[in-house]
Amino acid sequence: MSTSRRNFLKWLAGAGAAAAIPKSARAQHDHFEGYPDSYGVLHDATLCVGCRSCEAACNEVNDLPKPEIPFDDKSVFEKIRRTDDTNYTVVNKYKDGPPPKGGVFRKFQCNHCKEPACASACFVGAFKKTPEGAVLYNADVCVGCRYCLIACPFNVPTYTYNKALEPVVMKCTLCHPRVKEGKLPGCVQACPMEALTFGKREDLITIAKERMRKYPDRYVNHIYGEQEVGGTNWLYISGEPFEEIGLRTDLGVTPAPELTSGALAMVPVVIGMWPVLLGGIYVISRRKDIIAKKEKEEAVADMKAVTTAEGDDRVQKAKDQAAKQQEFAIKREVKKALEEAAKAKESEAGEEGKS
Amino acid sequence: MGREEVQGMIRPILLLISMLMLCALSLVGLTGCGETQATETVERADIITIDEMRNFGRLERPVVLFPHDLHTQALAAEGKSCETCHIKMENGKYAPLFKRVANTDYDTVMNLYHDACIQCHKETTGDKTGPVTCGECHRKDAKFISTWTEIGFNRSLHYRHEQANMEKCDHCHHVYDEQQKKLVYVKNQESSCRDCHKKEKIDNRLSLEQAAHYKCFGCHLENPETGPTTCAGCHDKQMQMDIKVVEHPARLYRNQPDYTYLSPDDAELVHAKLPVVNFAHIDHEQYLDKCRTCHHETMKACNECHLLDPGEDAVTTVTLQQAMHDMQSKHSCAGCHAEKKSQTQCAGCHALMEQGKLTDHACTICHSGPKPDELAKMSTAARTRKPAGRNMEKLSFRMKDIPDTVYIGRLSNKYEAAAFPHKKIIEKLMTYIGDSKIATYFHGQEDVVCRGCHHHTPVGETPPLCESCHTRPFNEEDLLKPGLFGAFHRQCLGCHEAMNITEPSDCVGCHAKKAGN
Repeated sequence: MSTSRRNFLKWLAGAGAAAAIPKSARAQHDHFEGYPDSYGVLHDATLCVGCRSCEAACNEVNDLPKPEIPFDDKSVFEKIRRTDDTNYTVVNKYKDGPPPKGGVFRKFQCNHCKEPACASACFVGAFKKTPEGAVLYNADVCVGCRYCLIACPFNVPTYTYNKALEPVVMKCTLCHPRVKEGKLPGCVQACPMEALTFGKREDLITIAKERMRKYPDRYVNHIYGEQEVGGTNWLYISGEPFEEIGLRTDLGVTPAPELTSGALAMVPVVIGMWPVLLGGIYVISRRKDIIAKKEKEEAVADMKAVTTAEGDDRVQKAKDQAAKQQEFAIKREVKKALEEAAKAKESEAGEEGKS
Repeated sequence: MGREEVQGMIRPILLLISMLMLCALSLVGLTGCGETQATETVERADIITIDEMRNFGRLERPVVLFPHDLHTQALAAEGKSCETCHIKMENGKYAPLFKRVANTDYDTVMNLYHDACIQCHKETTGDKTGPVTCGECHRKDAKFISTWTEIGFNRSLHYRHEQANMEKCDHCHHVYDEQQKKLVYVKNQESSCRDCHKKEKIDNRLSLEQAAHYKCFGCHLENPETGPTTCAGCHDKQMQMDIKVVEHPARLYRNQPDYTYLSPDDAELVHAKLPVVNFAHIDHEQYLDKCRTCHHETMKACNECHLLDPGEDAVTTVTLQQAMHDMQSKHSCAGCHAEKKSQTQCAGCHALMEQGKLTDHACTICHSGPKPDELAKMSTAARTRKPAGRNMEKLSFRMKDIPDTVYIGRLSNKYEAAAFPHKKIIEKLMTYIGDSKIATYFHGQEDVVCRGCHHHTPVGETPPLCESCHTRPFNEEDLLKPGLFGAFHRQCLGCHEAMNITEPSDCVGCHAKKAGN
């Protein structure tokens, strides 16, 4: 790519940053709102043509192993792919369409959450949210527990199982080293349609809204990642409903760490209780199924300690673990329920005794 | 009696009551008075919802969905007429209500339905008779889904009725004469049915539904073979599409002008600033299939209701400006014209432009008539004269001045420069414009075609380079503007996509791969 590599360092220094886009005064909140001037990428799925230039560029700038199928081979779109231990990003095709665009595509990579689940799940602190926006992984301290793999609501981090001696977690870095050097992320620079826009997260939201205002018929009126799991630094806009381009819409807007805090707060105390922690994380990743029934059912299930013989082991395990997680997360509710139940029992017993 | 004794007695009593209730419920189930659950739903256009009991208060049972055509067919097969269900009134027409002229009281109406429906269903033999138990008619979940679709007269249908009625307009059109207390026909006062006949009946003025069935259906029934006599015949979407269409129906004439000026009402003319708008009414009649598209149901001139400055007594708060320029409305000039831009031949340029926005030079294209003060002095005859108007000749374009092929290689890296058939593309666009009256009208200035790609720039013989505005990789000060890389690809691919051009289908279709890549 001969495109001149402009010095983006000045962005980081904050000089002349996106002066064209007016900024509203930032509200002050008690809770963590994410780093205010962090960077991100806006992926406009209506522009993506599935050329896989981003995949090729990512492979090149990160010195990843050359794939068996070359990057100009479109046969990979026959199935939905996810990242593995050899790449940081893949493009998937979700709908067929006539050339020139050839369908509906979406790029898949780490979304760089404002409050990342992987970082909160990692008890050695191998993941770090940088003020620039990237969620970075430090292989030096990683103990290989792979909680991050389970914790991530987007199934992003992967593990190099094939490396016997020093396996590491693989995931997109938002080209943090390149950005620090004043360069664009590899994928953004390579995108011929500029379906990827790099900039301050706040500006990206303004751009996304402006595109929707200009072309209301073209977009679903939502910016994916603006609120999801507390907000991500990778944002998406699309002409198709987000669940149809492989983005989960059931994740809610609560940052993952907030949900795990109940379980995670116990980690230093009960560091030996791995199953409890795993249970907490498992619950987060299967949150949708479990939250629906939550509280009452789980509390009752716990109280009665019923172990049904039927159902496979996995389901049973999930139930047990969920129940245990309840002890931490909704201790008070359980206690209350128990007390109430006990009271009810007492009075019932009393009544029966009377009659 | 002690408390414990009372409790001891209550328990068996409660048990007894609950058992009795269970028995009662199971009996109800056996006699079929429980609501039946639908197994599958059927789409029909002839569904009438029988909820007449609403007139007497809250419904006790789910409404009954009644497939009307199914019943008329069944009765016809047995040689029975409409009179089986509808009372023939003195004027020879059938009362629209079932077996009655008007709703009387709760029990009478309820019994009317129950007795007549169930009795007929019982008498009718064979496989295809109707239900006789409560829950089979009063279903909790619908057995039918109504696909009823409104029907209105378009120009073709109106023309066919004009022909069939020997141009006797009074067969359908009438106005109420206050003095004579009857309906009379007044030439050139014809309006649309829904101008007077509203959704609900007002005094003795029928609702649109009633009027349409009396007139349309009544006439079809009296003159079989002339038009549909079934519900679906008019209200089924597919059957509506099958209605024969006359390609070029004669003009619907009620003394409207061929040409006129769109302007504020004379009283408001002093407040108008821009020259008024030339309007070829006669041409627009051909483009649209209903008068209602512009005139709503009233057939009045725009400025009779839409004022520049609507006061408190105004018919509508929608100003004349809004009514003419609302881009979201399909009834306004600008809205309807904007819709034309989505046609494949136009979309290549227009799909990439901001939606719902008038272009900067658009005002004077329409507002090219006389100035308001000049118009005020003009007679009616002068106002409806065909204007000299714009030059509607095919555009003359300085084709010799524009380059044949443009090589786009500014960013060439892995690929060779792309050879862009500049002239060929313009020629093609010019053909599309030349074929369309509206396109010729709005692309009258020479540079308008160029603006499809060379947007925002004043077009001379050599437009500025694309990178004058679109920087490489992009301008971080103005992220709304694509960089050069994106600008090229979005413009080319965006246009091809909008115009359904499927060639070239891949990267090398535009630019060959460089050796070693």
